[in-house]
Amino acid sequence: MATDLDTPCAHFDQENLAFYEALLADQTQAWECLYIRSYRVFIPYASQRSSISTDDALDILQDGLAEFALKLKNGKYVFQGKAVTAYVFTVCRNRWVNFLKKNRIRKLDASTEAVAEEDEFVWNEPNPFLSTYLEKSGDDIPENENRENPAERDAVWEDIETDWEAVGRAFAEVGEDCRTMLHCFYVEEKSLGECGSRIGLQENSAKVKRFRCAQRMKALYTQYKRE
Amino acid sequence: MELSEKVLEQIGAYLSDRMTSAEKANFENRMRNDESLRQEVATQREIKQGLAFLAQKQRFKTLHTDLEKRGLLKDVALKPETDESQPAEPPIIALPTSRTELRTNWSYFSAAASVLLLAGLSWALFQNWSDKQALMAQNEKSFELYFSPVPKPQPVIPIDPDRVAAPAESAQTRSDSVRLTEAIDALQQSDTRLAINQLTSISQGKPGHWSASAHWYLALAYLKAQQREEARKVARQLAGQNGHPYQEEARELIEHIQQNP
Repeated sequence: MATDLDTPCAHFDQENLAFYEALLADQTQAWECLYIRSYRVFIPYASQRSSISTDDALDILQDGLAEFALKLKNGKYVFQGKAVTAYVFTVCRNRWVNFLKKNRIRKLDASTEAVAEEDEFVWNEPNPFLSTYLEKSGDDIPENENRENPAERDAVWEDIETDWEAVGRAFAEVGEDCRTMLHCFYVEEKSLGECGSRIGLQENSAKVKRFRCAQRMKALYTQYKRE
Repeated sequence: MELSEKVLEQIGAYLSDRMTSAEKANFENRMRNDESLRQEVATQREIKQGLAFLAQKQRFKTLHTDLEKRGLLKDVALKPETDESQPAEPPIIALPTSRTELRTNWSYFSAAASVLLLAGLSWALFQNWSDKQALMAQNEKSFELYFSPVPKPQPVIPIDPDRVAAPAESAQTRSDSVRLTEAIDALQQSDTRLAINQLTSISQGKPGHWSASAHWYLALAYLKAQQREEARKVARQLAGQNGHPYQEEARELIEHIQQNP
């Protein structure tokens, strides 16, 4: 049975700067709280407005949170006084709308369709969580997104869309050792020595292994992306 | 551009922001003058972003399992909202006026309750059976609607005037097409277990027309085997793959399943 002591949101009763900073500092309780709040808002929203399964709704929620986590990490999302959960909800809702379109699933309530297509989403839900955010949030992605991030502005290539599914398919096929090596290199950005030691290789052998894995990953990704 | 170990190392350092300002400026200058390097960096950047995304998603999956175990994701969130301002009145049940009357009527109540209980139980069992039968019939109907005993032919590659010789059909391709035909036969004979095994194996093999077609038939095999959710999952994967030979059918199947719950 959950008590107040083990409820992560007990520490973050307000979605203020402190909550945002706790997320930035990667505090487990902050992420748990964000997950619980987003779950309670988004899952009923999606389930009641479309005939998608709970598994699909969860998948969309976790995609949305992953997208938010990356934006937070690379500075594309900055706190501007509005509820973080409201922002995450909007990211998830956009993904949900795309999912419905892609799978040709109709929304159950025609009136929500019009709302969902609009840039400005109005928080007018009877759900108490949504009502709370309605008071605190204008749900404005452009205002929260940091478009002036120097890293983005200085990029010398166009912002190409990553094909997440193709990456996932390719990654699933490269083999266990390669997955460990590639995750260590691309995601954790660890040294060759560290990455090699995880699969029992000396640095020189690890260098060859990393290169072969990267080659294989690239070939598969390029192939699946084209399909 | 052919990826080399040296270039991979440089791109890794660039994308991880581990270069000095001078190194970064120099590298970006090289990118401006070398389109193939720029494209290589873009591809590596996509892979890096994609893997970071997958890692984050995995993190939230684990978090979900943990929170669920701790009872912090209550089902109440999934139930339709009710109007809490007007709580429902509890039903008022008239009690017997005296203990004697209660004792006299007890045996009648008991008998009536037993009959009601039995009838309710039977009805529930019948309803459950009836719903299951209806769902099975619906799955079979959907299968019949989309199943074709002959898979789509492999598209013919247009003749390239610069090609010296046409590529010979590989042994793997021939083998896949034969195995697919066998799996479809098994499916037609309602041997869904064999069909699912074979189709899973072909669809996980070398990518191509036949493995893609096997993926579609796998969705149908699951439907035939009354594994509706699995069928829908596979169809959803295909519906998202542009250029898949059965993309359109997969989309229609998903819609059909949604419309016939």
